[in-house]
Amino acid sequence: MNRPPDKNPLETDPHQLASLIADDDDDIGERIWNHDELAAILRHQLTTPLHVDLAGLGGAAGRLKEEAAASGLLLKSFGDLLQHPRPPLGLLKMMKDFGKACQISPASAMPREISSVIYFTSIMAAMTKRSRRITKLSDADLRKAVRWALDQPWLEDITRTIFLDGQRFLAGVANGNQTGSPQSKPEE
Amino acid sequence: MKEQDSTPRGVFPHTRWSLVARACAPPDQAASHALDELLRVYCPVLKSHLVRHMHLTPHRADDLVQDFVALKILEKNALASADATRGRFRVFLLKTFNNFVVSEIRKDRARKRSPHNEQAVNLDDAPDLALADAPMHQALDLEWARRIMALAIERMKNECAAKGRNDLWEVFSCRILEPTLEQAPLPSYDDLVQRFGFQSPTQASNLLITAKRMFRRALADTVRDTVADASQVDEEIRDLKAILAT
Repeated sequence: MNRPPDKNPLETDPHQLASLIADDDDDIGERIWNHDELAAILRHQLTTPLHVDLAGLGGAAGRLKEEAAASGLLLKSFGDLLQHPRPPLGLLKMMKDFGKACQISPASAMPREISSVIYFTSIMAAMTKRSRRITKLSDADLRKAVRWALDQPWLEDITRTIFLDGQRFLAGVANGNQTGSPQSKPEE
Repeated sequence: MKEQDSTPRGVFPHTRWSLVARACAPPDQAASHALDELLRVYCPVLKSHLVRHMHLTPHRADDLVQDFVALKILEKNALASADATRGRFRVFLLKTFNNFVVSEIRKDRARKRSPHNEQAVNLDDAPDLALADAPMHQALDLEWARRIMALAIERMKNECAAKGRNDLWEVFSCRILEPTLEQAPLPSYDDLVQRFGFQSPTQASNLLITAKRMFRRALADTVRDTVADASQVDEEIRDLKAILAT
């Protein structure tokens, strides 16, 4: 058992003690991590094996194993999925769902910025590597999200590459260089 | 609700009766135990206040607190006068103590002035009555707030030990408590991953949130033990925040 802190709470500056109970119950998950830790958190997320986070998505465990095994990604990580030349759409959708769940769940303590990157990276990977749209968001919204992501100094190489490719893809669509293929219909 | 005597110190069943209510009940073993627990919370508060803010010697402070307990609490059963409908127990107790201390200090002064008093009174033990007459609430409140926080921390540590959740206590201690109490450097995210073996940020985040929530519950349980009515807990915690933030 960790030794208790040497400093007695009876001697501690009261303002510092106040910081222990500053959060209300509703936002106890906020400010778990500092902004300068986002890079480390994203790096960690990308090395996390897929099954650790995706297997808990409502009945996804079986699908996950099947999809991952089929593409040689079994027991691989989020980063491996994003770097795969033809990432399985099913896995990208699960990754998107995971990012979304982290964004909207009040119980989630994943920094919003990280869950947003997870969410949008999966969408852009589907678009650029599989020519499939797995979102109902408009191109304008996606361009905005990509710009936001590329502005973040803590973004690392794997996701930065996906977003840069996505930015070029969306620019091509805007210029009319990319025609919408039947497979570009929104999946959901 | 039966007391669990084998419960580790500081770990209380959630459904236990209010300590105050039980301490005010007709004397029996449960009432005696409840009173002991209440005094465990408040006696250090009272003594610390006398030493820090009224500059009494620790010896004199001990005497005054023990006299208060003996004369007011035990002999005159002052707690029976605590009426939950008229205000919180803490306010009642601290006011009663304040009045007792002022009275005792006045007696000290009177004895000093008495021509029949052959035993000189050490002026260090009879501080300026202006201090005692001045509102002591703020200083006493602060001592109470510190004591509650200390007990809540102890409670959480004991609960983690009892439940075999060493991981919760360690992550709370290294990431939250030590940086707060000791200004220890905040361990980085990577340090935590290495130390605790988190497989994902979700795991790391969940453990830290669970630890924070556990501390909040420990605090609420500690405060609950000191109020006559459980409905007063939220108000006491709001007071606690305000007192520490002042």
